[in-house]
Amino acid sequence: MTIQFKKGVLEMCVLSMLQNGDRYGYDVACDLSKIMEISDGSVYPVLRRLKEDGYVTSYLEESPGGPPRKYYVITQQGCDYMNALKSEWTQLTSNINTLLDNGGQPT
Amino acid sequence: MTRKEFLTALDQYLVTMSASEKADIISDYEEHFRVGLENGKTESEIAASLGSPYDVANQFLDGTRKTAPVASTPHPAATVSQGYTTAQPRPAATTSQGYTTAQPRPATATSQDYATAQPRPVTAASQGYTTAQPRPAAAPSQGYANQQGYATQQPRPSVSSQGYATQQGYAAQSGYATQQPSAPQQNYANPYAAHAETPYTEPSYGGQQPGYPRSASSQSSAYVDYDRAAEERRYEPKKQSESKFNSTGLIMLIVLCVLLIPTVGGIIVSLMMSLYGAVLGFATAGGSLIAVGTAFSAESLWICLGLIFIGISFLALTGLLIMASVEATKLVVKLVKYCIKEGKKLVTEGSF
Repeated sequence: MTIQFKKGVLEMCVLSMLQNGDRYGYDVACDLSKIMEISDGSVYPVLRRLKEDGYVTSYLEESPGGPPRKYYVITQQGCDYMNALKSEWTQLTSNINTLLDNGGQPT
Repeated sequence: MTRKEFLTALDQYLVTMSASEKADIISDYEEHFRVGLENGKTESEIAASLGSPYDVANQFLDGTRKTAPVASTPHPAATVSQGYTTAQPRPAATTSQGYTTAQPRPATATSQDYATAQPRPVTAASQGYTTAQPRPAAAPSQGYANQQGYATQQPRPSVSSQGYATQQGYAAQSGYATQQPSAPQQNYANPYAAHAETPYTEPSYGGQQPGYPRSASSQSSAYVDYDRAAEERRYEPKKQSESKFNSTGLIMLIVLCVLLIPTVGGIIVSLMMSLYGAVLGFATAGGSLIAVGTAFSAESLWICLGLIFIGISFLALTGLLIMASVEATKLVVKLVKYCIKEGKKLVTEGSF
């Protein structure tokens, strides 16, 4: 798996999580490390890139008994990008699954 | 690694970023530590799960085509302009060609690639660099365009390995080699994209060639690996020296304690003994004198003188012992002072 591919997958996963609701970085990192082997530190560069590309924005919200936390929220642009990634992903995985199911014979 | 160590290291590796970007990134990781601590994790657990600050920094810098300094000390020269500054100080004979940046390229490769290159005036070198940006990659005569040519993977099998070496040299500086050492070919599209975004009029052609001699791909990745190892080692020697010091201090303390008891005891006992001897000697001598006075005889006089002599000898011995004791005490005081000093260090460092 190349870094590029992994990055794409990471972005897709993060965007998918954000589609489900606003989250702060630690939260995203925790959930993401449950589904794939990445270090928590890798989440922030992804979030930053997504933010630079306009796919997410962030806002600060007070947390109970502490300084405010930075919440990330997906933009409309991010939703569109997410959908594009998702259909690509679905297509790819279904093709690969077919290949594997057929014992290496592409249909 | 503690929170502070992690953030300091990250801050150091993000040296090429602007202060505001850096502050923003650091604040994200500060928040991460904060939330982690609230969730009952320790600082070292959180730092471990975040990964190495070097890798994290590179993931940020990757998007901007800047790089974390590979050396453990940050050097501000590691900016995006690096790759291009190399062209400037080159001799006039090669200035017209984009491949002047490719230091290790042999003449054959140059002629091959530059068969199409228009002969250019010497002064065109800087122009080539500054005007290269808006040109398409298809213009092989452009110095910069040639790099782009590589980036777009034009079929040049005979020189591709060298082109790769050049790119790799650059990639090593941009932190790329650390990211994808196993799949370098796929990197080409990215440096290209990044080049396209980079304003080429901006780099100051200061003539610096930091790190450029690393041309072969194996060399540059080895270099990067070495530096990563060095980076990891940065935290090791400290621990080692601490523990070494502590064990030495501990042994010293034990030895001192063992030595101290007989030394002090010996001094006290010898003082008492000699005083007792002196008192005994004088008392006996005094008693004898009284005896001589009451019943004077030659024998009793000799006995009396002998006893006085013994008393004086004891007194002399006492003097010597007192002097020795004073010296010994001085030594002991010194040792105790040293002991306390070292002991304090051990206690304050918390590893006792």
